[in-house]
Amino acid sequence: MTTLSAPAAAAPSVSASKPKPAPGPPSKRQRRRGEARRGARLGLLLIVPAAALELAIHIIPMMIGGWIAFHDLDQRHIRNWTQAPFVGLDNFIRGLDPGTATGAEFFATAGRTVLYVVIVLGFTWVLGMAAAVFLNSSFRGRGILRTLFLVPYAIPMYVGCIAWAFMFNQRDGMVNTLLSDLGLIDENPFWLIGDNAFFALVVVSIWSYWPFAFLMLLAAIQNVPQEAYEAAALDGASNWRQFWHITLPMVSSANGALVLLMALWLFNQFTVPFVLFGPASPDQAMLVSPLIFSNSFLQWDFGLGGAMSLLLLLGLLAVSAVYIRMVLPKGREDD
Amino acid sequence: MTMAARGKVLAALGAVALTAGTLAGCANAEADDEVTLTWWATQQAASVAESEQAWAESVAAFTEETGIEVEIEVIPWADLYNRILTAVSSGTGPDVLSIGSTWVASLTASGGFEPVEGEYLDAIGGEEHFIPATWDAAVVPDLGQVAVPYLSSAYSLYYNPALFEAEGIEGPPATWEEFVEVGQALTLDKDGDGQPDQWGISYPAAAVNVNAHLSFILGQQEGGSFVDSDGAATFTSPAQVAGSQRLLDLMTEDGLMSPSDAELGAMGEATDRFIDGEAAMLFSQNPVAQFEGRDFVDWEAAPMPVIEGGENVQSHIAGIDLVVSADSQHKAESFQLVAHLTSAAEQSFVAEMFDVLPVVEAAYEEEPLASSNDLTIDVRRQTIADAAVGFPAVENIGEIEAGVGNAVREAFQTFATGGEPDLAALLRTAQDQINSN
Repeated sequence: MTTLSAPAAAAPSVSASKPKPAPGPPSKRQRRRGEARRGARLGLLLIVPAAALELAIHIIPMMIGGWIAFHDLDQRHIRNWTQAPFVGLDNFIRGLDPGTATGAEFFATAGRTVLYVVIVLGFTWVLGMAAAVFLNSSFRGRGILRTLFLVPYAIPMYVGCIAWAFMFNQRDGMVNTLLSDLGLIDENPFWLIGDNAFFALVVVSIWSYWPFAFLMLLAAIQNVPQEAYEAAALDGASNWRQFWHITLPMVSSANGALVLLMALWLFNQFTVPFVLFGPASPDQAMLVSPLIFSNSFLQWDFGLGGAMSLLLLLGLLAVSAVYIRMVLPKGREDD
Repeated sequence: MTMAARGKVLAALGAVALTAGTLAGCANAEADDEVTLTWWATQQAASVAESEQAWAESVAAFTEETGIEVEIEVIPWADLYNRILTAVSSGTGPDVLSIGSTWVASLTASGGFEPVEGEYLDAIGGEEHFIPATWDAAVVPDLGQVAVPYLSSAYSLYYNPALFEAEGIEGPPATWEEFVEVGQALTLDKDGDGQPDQWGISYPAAAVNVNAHLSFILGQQEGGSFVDSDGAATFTSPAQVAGSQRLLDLMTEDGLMSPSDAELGAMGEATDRFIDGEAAMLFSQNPVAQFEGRDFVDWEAAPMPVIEGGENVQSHIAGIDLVVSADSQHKAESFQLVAHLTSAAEQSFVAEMFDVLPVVEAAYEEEPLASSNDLTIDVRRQTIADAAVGFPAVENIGEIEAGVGNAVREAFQTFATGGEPDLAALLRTAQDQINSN
């Protein structure tokens, strides 16, 4: 199966130092230890439901997806899918041989997806950061702006994308109507097919995702002590220097988590192209997840879809592991 | 443990129990004596609720007669195939399923459905009960038969007589030559801005399945075919390519189809443009519900155009079949339901309700269909009787349909965005990909 998980709204926590308990008399400490052990047991109990569901919804299907990647599973074997013939690396060879139409398509799509992630992530981060810094200073109407900025995140992504699809409609969509009323175009261009489709996909994705970046960065920035800025201002630091030397380093852990999370979501992007273009994305805007969907559920070649899914999963795992080691702060030893 | 902590543990355990309960609830729990069948029905009316009501009305008499309850779930077409595959792979699907008739071969190959033979064949009245063309379309060579024809339909040419009259055109075109002539005469720039605002035809050029259907029909007219007798894809033969090309030419060469149609991904969108008077003609299987839903009356139906002196094929045999799950605990009762749904009385009721064709000849003599003077039923009935062929009954028909339909879609979109489509090359790439699997 594919790894098309919808982005879950899991907010990375901004680490705040916990006050350490002051050492008390021995008898109390022993009692504390007992409590701590019970606390740990309670903690374990509490994560059981989440762990069980995670296993059932994510881990086991992923493992089955991995199994499918090595089998010739199509509609003929779907009833007794455990009996699908083992084909070794055939699916990978078919999907990865650039000499075949399928392989060439996969590599072109993977490259396009990387480009998509870089562009969308770059724009959402810059927009989110700019808005967060801007709204961190107090001025009249700040509350209204904050609410307004969060609107795209409050609207279900599906609904937002449908509205965009209407606006990008070639014949009587709002985008073309506006452009031609302004005298910028003579003939209505297509936005949802052909070369412009990638542009439309990027625009809608930025619109959908930037409020999340804004929200996370704003939360982090609000944790930066005001004194640091005051001290810097006294030393004559410009706004830019304050941003560069105070804000950025102070929000780096939230920032690191944000970039990782968004990159993973965007690499797995499915909702936006699916709603914008329908089940079959135009070639110029095909991303990896819609390609896997197309192989699995439009061509019913589950083996090939599984192989591509597995490659995507392994690739993302490897990148995430390196990234986490390099960028994210290490957990504290005493936790 | 403190009270608060105990409360938390209880809450956590409660959550686990709830989850487990929900999961267990998914399994089929059934009382021993009372049989309840589940039926996944298709969406025929504009809304799921409307469809459900009509199907429920159709099975009410069955429940009354037999005491067997039927739980109906209406599934929109876009989700149906994947839902069926999920049901087949999990073995926990419904007892009876409605399927699209072009999926018969793929789904027969899945082995998830009960063969229609022996007592089950007798229960539904045997082969003789059905109109031969529809029965034959449900049989898959070498794999036997799991599907029972339920309702059928065919492509027809729908046209707007008011727009025809305004240009002094009498009657619908019968051949492609006439079609192009009429279509061009009806492509008009009414507001004088240099761009046509009324087109000869509106067509969902991005709809993969419609592209495949029309390619098949037009290819058959040329003497082409999608597959050879071994099931290998052959849609790059000159005759078959000529069929697909004729469809593409309506936009690229003849200029009677708007390039903006390259964006339309569903028949309903093309139908809306026809209703809005932005096009004078429409190829469709069954737009009547949408016409009625929008109170549109300026339409008439005619058979699809043909090549003068070519093969007399105007449609594939489209429609819906019924299958019984091989995992059903109530197969005999399920076939009883199938027998009820394919009885002349129910066929007449449903056909009239949804503007589709019955698969049983006797249904035409039953009320309400007998006194319905629905022209489109007559036109399609004629097409099915004289000029329709079954969609290829090969296992990989799903892939072939997607391959052809996508190639044609790409060709339309390439043209619309200013390129020069090479349809033969696109079809060749699609075919190589299918035949290499």
